[in-house]
This record gives sequence, C-alpha cells and structure tokens, in this order.
Amino acid sequence: MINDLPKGKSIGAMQASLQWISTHTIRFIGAVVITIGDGEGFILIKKGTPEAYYFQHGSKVLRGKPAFDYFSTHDLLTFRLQKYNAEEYRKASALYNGEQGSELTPAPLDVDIPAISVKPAPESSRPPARAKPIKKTAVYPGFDPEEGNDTTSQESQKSHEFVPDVRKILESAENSLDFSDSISDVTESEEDDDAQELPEDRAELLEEAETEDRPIAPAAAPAEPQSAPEQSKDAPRDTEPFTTSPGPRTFPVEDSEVADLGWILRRNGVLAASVFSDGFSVVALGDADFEAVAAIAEDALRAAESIATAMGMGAFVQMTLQMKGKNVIIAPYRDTHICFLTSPKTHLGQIRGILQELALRNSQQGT
Amino acid sequence: MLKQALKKFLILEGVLAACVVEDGGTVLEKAGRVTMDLEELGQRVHQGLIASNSMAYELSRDELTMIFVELKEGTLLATSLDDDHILAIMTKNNTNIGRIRYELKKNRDTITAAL
Repeated sequence: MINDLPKGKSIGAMQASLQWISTHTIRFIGAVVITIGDGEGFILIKKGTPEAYYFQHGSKVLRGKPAFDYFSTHDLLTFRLQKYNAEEYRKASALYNGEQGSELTPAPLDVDIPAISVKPAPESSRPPARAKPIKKTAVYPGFDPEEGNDTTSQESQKSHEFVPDVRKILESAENSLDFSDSISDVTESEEDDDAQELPEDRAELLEEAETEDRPIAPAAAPAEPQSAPEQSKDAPRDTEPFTTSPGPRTFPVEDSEVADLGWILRRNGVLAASVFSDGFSVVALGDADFEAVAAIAEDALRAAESIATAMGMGAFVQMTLQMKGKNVIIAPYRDTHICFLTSPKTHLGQIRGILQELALRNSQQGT
Repeated sequence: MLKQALKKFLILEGVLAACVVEDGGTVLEKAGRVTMDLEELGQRVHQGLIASNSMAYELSRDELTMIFVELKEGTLLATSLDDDHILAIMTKNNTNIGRIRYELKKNRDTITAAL
C-alpha cells in the first residue's frame, strides 16, 4: 500500500519521537512515512490532525489505533515527510480507506489513548539518539515484526534499550522552525531538488494555514473539548489533534514556543518547562506534570501580581518558588506565562540570566 | 524582641522593610519605613504562600522553603517561620539576596523564639 501512496513532495527525513512529530506538523498536509526495521507505515496528517495510521511488516498489517499504539511504543521513529497537495492527499486518503473496503470495519478503538503531550522520557544513561537506525522491537501485543526473522535475543535486548536522547530531540525541535534545517543526511539524493524548493513549500503551507481555521485562541476557547473537524474514523479517538495539552481546551502551539522551551531546557539545571495560559498548560517539555500544576501556577501568579500591586515597585518580573528538591520559576512570556523547574542548586542569578536571555531571544525573533 | 530581630535585616544594604505576617494575613510586627500598605501586602503574601505551597506539593510533594517575587524595582522574599507565621522582607532592586538568605538562616531561630 505504501508504494501506492502519492509521492508528493519530499520535505526530508529525520528521527524524532511521535510526540515531536505531533507538535511539528500543525501546518503540514501529507504523509509521515515511518520505517521501523523491515516494516514501513505512515500517518496521514492534515494540518495537525492525524487522519490515518498504518503499519505493515510482511503480511502483517496494523491500522488505526493498533498502528498508533505501535508507533507510540517507539521512543524514536525514523520517518520522512511527504507533503501533499489537496488532490494527492485525497488520493492517499482514498487509498487508505478504499483498501480497507466497505465491508471492513475500522480497527477496534475501545481503549482510551493517552493524549499526545510533549513529555520526553526522563534522561538517564542512554546511547546517542541519532545517527543510528531504530532497531526492530516487538512491543505491540500480538504483533512481532521480528517474527520469522533470525534475530538473537541480544539484538532484541539492545532494541529495547534504545531510547532517545531528550536533548537531541529538543535540539531538533528548536531547529524545526525550518524543516529544511532538520533534513538529515539520510535524505535521499533524488530528493535534493525538492529540498531546494522548501522555502516555497513553507510559504505555501503558511499561506494555507492562514486561510483555514486555526485552533481556537485561549480567550475564545469553548469550555468543552474541541474535537478534530475531519478526523477519520480510523484515527484513534481521544487523540488530540496535535495540540500538546490534554486539557479541556485546545490552544494554538507555535513552533517558536516549543523551540523556546527546548532552549530553556538545555540551560544548566533546568528540568522541565511549560507555557501556560489561563490555568492551562499550552505546551510543556521535560519531566513534570504541568497539567496538574498549571491551575495552581495561575493562582500563584495572581498572588504574585497582587503583591506587585501592593508593593508599588514596578511591574512583575518573575517569581521563584524555592523548594527542598527543586525551584519553580514563573515569569511573563509573550502574552502568556512560562513556568520552569530547576534543580535546587540553580541559583537566582542563573534564573535571572535565563529569563533575560529568553527576553532577548524573543525580542530578536520579533524583529 | 521580635522588632529587634527584624531590625537586623534593615542593616543589610537594600533592605527596605521586614515584617512577620500571621495566619490570615495580619501583620504581627514590622520594621522599616515604607510607603506601602503592609497590612494589604501581608494578606497578599499570605495568599501567595498558600498558592505556592499547593504548587510545591502538587509538583513533587515537596516542601516550600521560600518564595521570591521580583519586580522591576524591588524584590520580596517570603518564608514560613512556622505553621502560622510568615516572614516577609522587601528589598530594592539588585540587592544581594544571598546575603539576606544567609542572615535569615542565621536569625530564624531568634525570630521564631520571639513569636
């Protein structure tokens, strides 16, 4: 089936987690063609909405939720991005749905899928995340891509140990403002011409994004969860259409916000970071449950702002909560606020430095 | 006794005022000459510490030791002395916070004993 997909325009090939893909395809229309071992699959994405998941290894085929689950079990996916125009996307979608046949029902979707959020696994002593192909793993119940192949248990063990280096992925996130920067050496030579056309692609994508509905801004967001407008029946339920927060409202997430968070996370001592607005975490990176904290952070922020008013000594700059195990910093960030966690050894001067650099970084981006 | 203990902070460069806030936000004792309404500030510091404590607990079941609120022209430090009392110190901008923290650590027992 994958060979029959429209070729589209190749944007590039890279390695990243499913979460990373989810947060960086908001303006993308096309197929994310994923290779896992000898198997290959794809996700059809229409402006941040995953509409189809498919994976095939030999005669074994996974569709919809099982394919999503299988992708989710891999910390790092090797994939290439194939950008489609409307006609190509329609063909790809028809191919996916057509092959399934009218008599076939979509894959069972009776299990809730955790919403996608940017929460890389905690760091540990890990091998480098890049420059290595992902080993085949057999972690999805009932599906073993290795079945029938001669593999040693040692190799299998290695594959399970292969987990991503969070910082490398975040580096990719920061570079993702331009996908062309992220095109790795693995991009096929035949795609060179396409890669050169990337600026035009991006302009086109941006133009398309502007002409269509975007996720609702916080101020106008409804109280009820927003459902994907054109989510396919085969797309897993409860999968957020590529927003990064599983909260009851959806917010537009900008690449630059993810990039800024990635930048903060690479500062010495920073453990996790989140942008929050109106008590909801908009986007978060690192190992912390910001979903639960965002509402309380909003309370703390309001208290800090009222302290600022009472003191009459100028505008609120930042608030640091010092705990025994870590520090929490809350500061204004663009139209929202940022919250990040640092180790207890990170001193106030470093925190101030990070915030000043962040402000400088944003002012430079704005100009 | 408590006032004397608070006055020790005023010796430090940049410190404008220090006060002890009771549970509920009432100012128990204060030292320093500031134009701000310390009663109002006390209540807000109290609220801020409650919210911060909740956040600390929610994040990592951790115990809050101190909060800093940095403003454009000043900084507020607040820390719980015990279950019912908070010490708040107001400073000018660019004050040596490390020194204040050191003095606070040194005088904490004295202040607590004077409550």
